[in-house]
Amino acid sequence: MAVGGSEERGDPCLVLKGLSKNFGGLHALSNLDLIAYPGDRLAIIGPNGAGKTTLFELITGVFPPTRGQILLFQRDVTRWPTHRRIYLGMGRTCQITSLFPDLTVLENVVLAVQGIKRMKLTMHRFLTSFGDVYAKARGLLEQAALEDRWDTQVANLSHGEQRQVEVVMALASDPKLILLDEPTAGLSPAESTMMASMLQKLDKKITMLIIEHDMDVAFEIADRIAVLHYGELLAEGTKEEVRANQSVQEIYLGVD
Amino acid sequence: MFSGRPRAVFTVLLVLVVLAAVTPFLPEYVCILLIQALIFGILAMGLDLLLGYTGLPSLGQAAYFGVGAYAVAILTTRYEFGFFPTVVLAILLSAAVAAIFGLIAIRAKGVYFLMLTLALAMVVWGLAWRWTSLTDGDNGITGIPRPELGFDLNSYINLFYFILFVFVLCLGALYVLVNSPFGRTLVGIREREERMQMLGYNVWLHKYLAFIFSGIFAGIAGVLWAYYKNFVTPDDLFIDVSVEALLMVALGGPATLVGATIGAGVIVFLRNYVSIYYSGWPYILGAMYIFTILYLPEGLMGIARRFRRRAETEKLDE
Repeated sequence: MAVGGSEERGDPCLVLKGLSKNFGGLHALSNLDLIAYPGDRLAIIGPNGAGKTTLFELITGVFPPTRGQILLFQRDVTRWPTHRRIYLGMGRTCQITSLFPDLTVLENVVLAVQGIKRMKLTMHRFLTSFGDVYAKARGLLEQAALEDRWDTQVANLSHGEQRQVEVVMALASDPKLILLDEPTAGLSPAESTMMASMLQKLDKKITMLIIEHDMDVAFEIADRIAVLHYGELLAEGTKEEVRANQSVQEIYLGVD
Repeated sequence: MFSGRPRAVFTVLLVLVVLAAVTPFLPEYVCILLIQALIFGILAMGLDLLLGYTGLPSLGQAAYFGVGAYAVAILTTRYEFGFFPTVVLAILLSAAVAAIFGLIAIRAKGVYFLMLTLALAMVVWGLAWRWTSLTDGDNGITGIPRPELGFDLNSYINLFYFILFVFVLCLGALYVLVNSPFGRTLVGIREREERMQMLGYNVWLHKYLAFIFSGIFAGIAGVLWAYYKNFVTPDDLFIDVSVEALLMVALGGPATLVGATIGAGVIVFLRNYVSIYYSGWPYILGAMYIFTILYLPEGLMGIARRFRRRAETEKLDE
């Protein structure tokens, strides 16, 4: 089993045991073992079709695994629906921006803030009367330097700003574990740098799994790297270990 | 659509007050049509909660409308229940039927949801038609007495005020509901259901509750319909009612509540006046459907919105 470090770091947030997913005859993921401890910054890299997004879909429960087990904060959530897993303290962004385009930035973030709050089922009061929810949403937007855009319809934001709102929304429920699916996809180099610094500023206690195509960003943010190749875990370890790994060099980082 | 629109609320209140003030001076025939429009307005606003806000196109609202109407008919004529127990039981029954049908229908989306709601509504219609010992089948149930509430509801103008009062209560309740935290989650579900799950929402539960609420408002409309008409027949819960309710929402403008009522008014008045000169009302209904979908996707409320938007951009240009 691939374990990032042997020192005592508390109970793991996420344990994947022998996780496999087949789509018909296609083995999207095979027999994957992975552990993430509190505060880990784990980048998942690999060529297109390596199964990275499938891995996130399994962790968040978009579909069930063919085999294997998923433990989230020591609880077996393998058969749980998505919303219950999110409730345990998980947040996720999607590869393709999936915000609520007709709503304003603030309304988007408010929906994210109330996602795991009991008041989301309140029916006899206006949402706008929940000052704490709005204060929290505005605070999150300030952290991301988006407070000027609060009243803008999300559809009218730039792509870079939309990606930022994605991350803000994933953080709105104060998750202990956050999954970021290519947060810099489609961003300009300048925007990528901004996103990377925004992610680095996050609370160090948050465990982060990040799928990233941009190697610079991946190596900058993460302290551990997992390399997926055709659904299998090719290598996993510190940046140095992965850089030094022979097979990773051959198939992914490129050898001159 | 959001709260913090005092001008819109003020306009609606003003229109309601004018309506209440003017109606006594209108011919009785118009007063009756206004009563019908308000009842269908409640039905359409309840559907708007599903179609406009949650994005679920139900073609089965006639079922809950019919259950409400038949419950009043049966409870008052067979068992001589008083007004309040009748109303409470009738609304509870509509809610119960919606709660059962919702379990089946909410699994599906889009056209499949539409087909399921339609099929389930046809079951209720079939029962009204065939369960003759309870419903008297094709003959319907006649002789439903108007409630005795200390003022004479046999006068149409008094009945109008009574129904206007219930309508305002329903409009107010729905306005609070769609602006509540729960109501805003429905909009999120309409826009992007998967994302709502990823934010921790039990999407199924929210849709299911919206479905039941929609059934409750259809039930309230059915109760009023039975009291107004004094008799019910299987026609009152035939597919026509569901189709017209859908058109009312689409024509008025989805996700506006008020639009649904405007749509109800237009259709009730058109149907009655057109029928005097021309017997092919369904053709006109169909043509309106197509015209609305093609040219007025935001409904009649969209026209006002378009003018407002144009005014705003002109202001910006200056």
